[in-house]
Amino acid sequence: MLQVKNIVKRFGDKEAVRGVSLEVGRGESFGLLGPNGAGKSTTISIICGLLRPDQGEVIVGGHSVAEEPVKAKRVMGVVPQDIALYPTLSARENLAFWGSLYDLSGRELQSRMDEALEIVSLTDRQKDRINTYSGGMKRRINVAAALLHRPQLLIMDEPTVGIDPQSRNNILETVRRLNQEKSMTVLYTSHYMEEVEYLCQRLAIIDHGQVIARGSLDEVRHLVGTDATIRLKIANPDEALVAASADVPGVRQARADEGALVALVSDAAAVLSPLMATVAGQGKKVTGIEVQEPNLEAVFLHLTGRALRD
Amino acid sequence: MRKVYVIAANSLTRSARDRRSLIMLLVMPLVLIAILGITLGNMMSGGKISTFRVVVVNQDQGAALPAGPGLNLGKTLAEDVFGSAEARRVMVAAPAADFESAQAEVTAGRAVAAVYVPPTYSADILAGRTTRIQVVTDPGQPTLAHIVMQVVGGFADQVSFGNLAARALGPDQARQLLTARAKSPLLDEKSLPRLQEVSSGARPVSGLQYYAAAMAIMFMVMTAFTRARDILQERQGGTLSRMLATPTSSRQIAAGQILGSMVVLLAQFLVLMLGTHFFYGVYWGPWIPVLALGLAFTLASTGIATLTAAYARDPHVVDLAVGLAGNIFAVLSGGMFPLYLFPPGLQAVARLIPNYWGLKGFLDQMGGVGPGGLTLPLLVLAVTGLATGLLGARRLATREV
Repeated sequence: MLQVKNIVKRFGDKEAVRGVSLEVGRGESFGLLGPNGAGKSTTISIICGLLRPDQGEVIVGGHSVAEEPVKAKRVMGVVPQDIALYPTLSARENLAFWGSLYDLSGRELQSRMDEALEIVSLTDRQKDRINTYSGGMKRRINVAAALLHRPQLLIMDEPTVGIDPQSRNNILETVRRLNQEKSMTVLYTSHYMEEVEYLCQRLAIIDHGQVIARGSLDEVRHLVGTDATIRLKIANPDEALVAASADVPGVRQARADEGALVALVSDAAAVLSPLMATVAGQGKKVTGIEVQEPNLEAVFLHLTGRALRD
Repeated sequence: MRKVYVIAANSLTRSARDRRSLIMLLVMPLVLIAILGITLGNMMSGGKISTFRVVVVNQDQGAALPAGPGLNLGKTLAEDVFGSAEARRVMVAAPAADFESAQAEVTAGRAVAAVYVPPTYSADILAGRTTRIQVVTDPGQPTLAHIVMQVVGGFADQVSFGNLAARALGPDQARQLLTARAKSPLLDEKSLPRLQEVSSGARPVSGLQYYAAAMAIMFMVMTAFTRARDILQERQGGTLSRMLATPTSSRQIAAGQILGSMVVLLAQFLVLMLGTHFFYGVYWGPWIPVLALGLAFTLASTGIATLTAAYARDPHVVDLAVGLAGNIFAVLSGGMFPLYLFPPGLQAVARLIPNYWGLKGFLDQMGGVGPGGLTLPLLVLAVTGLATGLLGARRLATREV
């Protein structure tokens, strides 16, 4: 559905995108993860045909964005990072305008607007002006405007920035449903790793204009190793407890750490139960449990030495 | 083409929804036309000018000369200049004993200006010494104050010639020259702000007519630049990027935006023209030439504003242009005060501004100039609009987001 071939974009002396290549299959949900200023939005702008790459090519639905922009743009629905709506128009008037630019008209346009409003659960507020909406509701209409022409590829550029948890969940649920139930291909950019983990089957991590990691969620997570961490809160974990815990099958390493027993394990689900039994056998009482699986935040930290939201 | 109309219609709807813009577009000009037309318009009524008061304090004791009569320039100013038939058509010169009470008259609004001639004025002039006449004017009556300044300034110019003559030739010859020159008519027809001087037609143009055209032009230019700012804000706010991400070409978008601006401007012109016609009884001239002029001026102001939007990066820059184009252009082109009050240099500069050609065209139509007077304004406005508009549209269509 989407092929990005070695694109480069320079702004003066600065190289914002340095040879990015991506491939997203039909029906797939693909995440583009990276901190602010990593080059995600520039990459998205090139894919959408808003910027011309200095080098490389983008193919959408079999159409070159540079050579067949109109055909390529019909395949895409774009949810921009900004709330690109007209505040003095109602939600329905905004959707009518954006739908018209996708050549929708008459009854077809009306039914598509009804459908899009229902998807984002804002049918009851459709006649209200956008400037009376909350930030989260504006974001949802921002998404609805990209769905009117039933795109095969939905491109979302950080669509949940600065909104309340309820609207964020609504957007994430909507995207997941569109991907799973309607087989809509999704390219989702974010610097929130939990969103990408929730929505995407595959992802690429981008930093300083380059892809620094790519693959399935598990493949990328395991770049930092496969160990999960189990942390059991115990008053006075002694050496005998640490030694007994280290002998539990599946535990690679155990240590005492500030009122807790910390164990590095290959499979947390399998190890947790025998580990708890061992602790009980040592006459200790567990007052709290934390399990930390390897995650994308850790991957990014591992690859760049920086946190994702730095 | 449908998308061009959709984008233009979107523009029009948003303008109609914006109450602040509507007030600026329509209410402000109609109010200003009424205020300016009524307050300043009486000076433009073809000689039927209501007179205003000037207080003259002449303390000049004159200068005695060894041979022949003495010279009293203060008396000449008070009686021969302010008392001339030309001056009496517009002002009444009242004497006062001292400058303080004369100034009090101005402060109280009973006089437009107080003029003070010092005791040694004539003697100083004849002796070749520096001296001065003091004038205090009412800042609330700038046009009338301008007339007084023009009279006193003209008199001072003539007298300063005598001052130079006294230095070069001696007092006797200076007196002869001064006696001849200082009484010469200083307030001629050109000094009076009557609109027949502007309109070359057969019909007099009233103050309401003048300001109806001038304000319509000024506010149309301001609207054009406000629309240019909106185009830049679309670029910054992300709606332009979103449009470009749809299967809509950048040419269609630029054309839609320009068409939207033109429709808004033309609608503004029609409302102001019809509003002033039906509410204030303003006669604009024959409909077809006036509508053609309105369209040509719409084209010119949209073109210039589009060019600004195409090259500016920051909407604040365009805001500055709104101020410059809206106010300075209006003043320079005679939109605030009749152009003949300006020095010749500024009158020449005015010809470079589309406002001038718009105003000239409308005033000519109001004044009864036939279709022949329409050609040059129409041509200048259309060429300006097409040249700047095409250049701006090309740049808008090719500029990266």
